[in-house]
Order: sequence, then structure tokens, then C-alpha cells
Amino acid sequence: MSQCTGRPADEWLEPYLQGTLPAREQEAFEEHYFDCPVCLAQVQALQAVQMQLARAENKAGVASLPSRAWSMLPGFVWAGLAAAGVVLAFIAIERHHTSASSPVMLAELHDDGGEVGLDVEGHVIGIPSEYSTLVAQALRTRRLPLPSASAEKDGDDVLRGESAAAPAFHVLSPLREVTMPMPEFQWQPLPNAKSYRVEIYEAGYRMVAQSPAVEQTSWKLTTPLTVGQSYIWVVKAETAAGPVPAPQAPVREARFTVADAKTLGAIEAARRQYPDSHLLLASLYAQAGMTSEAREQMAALESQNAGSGLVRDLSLSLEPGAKLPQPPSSTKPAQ
Amino acid sequence: MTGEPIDELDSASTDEARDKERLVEAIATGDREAEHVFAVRYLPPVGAMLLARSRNADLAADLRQEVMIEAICALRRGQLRDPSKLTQFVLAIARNVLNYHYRVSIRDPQLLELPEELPDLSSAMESGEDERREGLAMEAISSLEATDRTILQMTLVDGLKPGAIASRLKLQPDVVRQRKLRAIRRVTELVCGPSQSNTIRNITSGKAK
Repeated sequence: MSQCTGRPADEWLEPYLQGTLPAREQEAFEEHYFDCPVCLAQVQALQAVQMQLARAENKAGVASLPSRAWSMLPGFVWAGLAAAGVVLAFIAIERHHTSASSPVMLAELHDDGGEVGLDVEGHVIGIPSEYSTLVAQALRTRRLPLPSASAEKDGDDVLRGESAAAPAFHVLSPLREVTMPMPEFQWQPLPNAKSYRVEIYEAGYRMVAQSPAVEQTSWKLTTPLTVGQSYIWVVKAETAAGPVPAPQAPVREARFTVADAKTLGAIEAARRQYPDSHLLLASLYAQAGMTSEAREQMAALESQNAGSGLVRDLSLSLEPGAKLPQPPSSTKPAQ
Repeated sequence: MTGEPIDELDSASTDEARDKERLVEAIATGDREAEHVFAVRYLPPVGAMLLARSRNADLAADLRQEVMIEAICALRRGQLRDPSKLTQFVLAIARNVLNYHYRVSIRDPQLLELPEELPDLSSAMESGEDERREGLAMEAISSLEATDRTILQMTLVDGLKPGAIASRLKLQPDVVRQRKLRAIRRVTELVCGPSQSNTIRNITSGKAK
């Protein structure tokens, strides 16, 4: 039997259940409580409380218990549930009063079934603390945190000294952005094209991948590219008059870079832990320069926030050349 | 507080190491009773770990069975060479199963190599312990003062730090910290039950917090 004094649970249980314990400590704590009945009992106890409180917050209360659980409930639990019904109603009322007396919010939106916001004191609500600075910046400036490297995208798509006439057939994405190792390539349709073929080149114009002939205007790579590596891609439309490539001069080459392993790991960790936190994920993707992925997250956020000017501005901030209102000059920094 | 909490522990005593060795050897020789002992021993922490990482009770309940089946099948095949690493072995399988679940949106049951004779986990799973704990958790929550309950909710569900909670509730951060600690201690004692609560009360009463 373990001679544990319960100190590991005292020290680590709360951040562990919040999901904020660093990976090394998380694994050490798990390894410990697997062999320690004292700490395991505390983990299970606080988890049970956490789950009940979460159900109360979702306002589904007792009705949200899994159906398979009903038939297994012993009598004393029914008594507990009845008592809890009163408690949950009380909590709902109390939270309503709490929100009524909350500080004035500078920015607020719905995300992941909950509220995300920034109050006048700079506190971010509804976002795990390790990401609060990143999200606070986005909410304060109404812009997602794009890396400085993505400024390249703001430049002309047309090479200097050439005509700026818009080409009829052009690539859509990825376009001077950072991608996952197996990106999806998208392009405008070309009338009379029978099929398309995508070619991917690394530095020195050595082809590293090629799609089969496809009829649709997108294709997803099925084998991963090298992380951290930059590539150029072209799509060639097969027509009766021969292949038509895009992009072609005077339009710039379509470049993209696969995110490095550290960035991919950090994003994967956040995605695994907070899969439905769209603002958080959009901020992380944008920060990494992965604008296509950030757009997907913002589209999900827009569906939850119809008519929100804040969400519209955040989405627009991903678009090069979009006219955005000036951000507020100063607020207190987030904690 | 100095050093890391784990430093002061000797989590696996010699007796435990011998027990693990016997268990691993017995399962490798096809002892079904040993499999049951293994399941009873590891189902609770595997369930707790999966719930902590997924925050989804139904998913955790599903995946813990998968973890136990994979672990028992691997032990039957004699894949664990160092029995003293049994806990790490089970943890690694649990993490792999969870990571695999997140990696693929459509799960292919054929990827899990199931033996013809599946381990019988039914008696280890149907203890009603989870439901009993849920009922106790509700009672524990109802026993808290309203402010403590709100602080606990903001801490465990909303993931807020004491400073942010204090700002929302118009309290001092130190007051929030104290009330949070008191609430966590109280609900933990109430849910852990009489046998555990005595142990924990003795432990917490000797703490400097």
C-alpha cells in the first residue's frame, strides 16, 4: 500500500482537472495515482463534482444524465438527485445574478456552448489561462494574431512591371500561408477544362508530388510533406487546346510552407483538449500563419454568433487588404 | 513547499512490485482470475485518467473497456517484459487509445485485434461505484455555501483563476483562494466516503495550507 500523504493530489489535482497542468507533471501525477488509492480517491471525488457542476452549467441538470444510468441508480441516489435538482436550480439562478453584477465586458461572444469575453479590467473569461494572453489580444484589437511573415500575403499578387489584369484561371489556396502536412489545394474552375492535375515542387523546382487527373476544383494530398519545408504548387487544367497552368506570369508563384513540428504539436495539443473552442483554435492557427484552418474555425464561430460585429471583424482580419476599424487605443492587459 | 510532490513518495513498494510480477505472470499463463484482479485494480485509474483528459464521461466509459481489453490481450501475449512497469504499461496503452480516438474521426473496429476469447470485464465494471459517487457529489455540492459553490464551478468548470473569480464576485483574491481550498477539501471528503475521508482528514489536518 502506498505511504502517500496526499500531497500530490493537493498540489496537482486542481490544475490537472482544469487541463492546465504541464505535460510532464500531468504524466507524473497519473503514474502516481494509478498506484495510490489515496490520491485516486481524491481525483475521482473531484471529477464527480466537476461533472455535476458542468451539467448544472449546461442547464440540462438532472435530465442530462446518460439514459443507461437511470436504471442503475440505487434509492439513496434518487434522494440525492432530488436534492440536487433544487441545488442545480439554485446554481442557475445564482449564476444569473452573478453575471448581472459582473464587470462591464469589452467584448463577448458565444463559443463552445459557453461565453468568451474580455472585461474592462483585461480579464479573459471562458478561455484556459495558458491561452488568455493570445485571445485577449484578439478580442482587444478585433484582429486575429497573424505572424509578421504573413505580411507577404498583403503584397501584390502580380509581379512588378507586369499587367495587373485578373487571370481567368487562378489558384485559391494555399497561397503564401502555412499549412498542415497534407494540405488541400483549391483553385478556380476553368471553362472547358476536362480535368486538372496538381503538381508540388520543393526548392530547386524538383517535383515531390503530383495528383491524379481530377474533375473537381480541389484535391487533398494523401501523403504528408516534410514539416517546416517550403513548397510551390501549380494546377494544370487539361483542355482541348492543351494544358493551361495556374498561376502563370505575371501572377506570382503559389508558395506555401508546412508548419514546423513544434507548431503542429502545440496546435494538436490545444485541438485535442479544446476541440470546440473555435476562437482559441482560430487564434492559434492564425498565429501560426495557417489562415485556411483559421478561416474554418471562424466560420464555425460565425454560425454561433449571427450578426456579431466582433466576429465579423475577427474573420475579416484574415483577409488581406480588408478594411477594418481601428482597434481601441488602450485597455488594461489581460492577466 | 519544497521539491516536487512526487519526490517524497515511494509509490511502488517491494510488495506491490511482487504483486505486479505475479499478476503479469499469471495473465501470461492464461489465468482468468488474474485478469479479473487486473481489471478491478486498473479500471478505476484508467477511467479517471480518460475522463480527465477527455472531459467526456461517456467517451471515457467506452474507451476504458477498450484500454483494458488491449492491455489484457498484450499481457496474454507476454508483451510486458518488466512487470514492475505494469502501471506505465497500462498508462501508455490508455494514452494511445485516447490519442488514436482523436486522430481518426471514423473508428475502424478491425484495427483493434481482438482475440477469440475476450476478457470478461463485466463483473469489474458493474459495481455501481460511479453512480454512487455521482450521488455523493451532488450531496456534497448541495452542502456548500452558495459563494463556495460558485467559486468551485468557476474553478473546475470554467477554468478561471482566483484573480478572475475575485473580480467577478467582487471579492479579494485571497478570500477566493481560501474558500476554494475549503470547498475542494469539503467535497472531496464527502465524496470519498467514510473510509477514505478519515484518511484524508488526517492528512489535510496536518497540512500547512
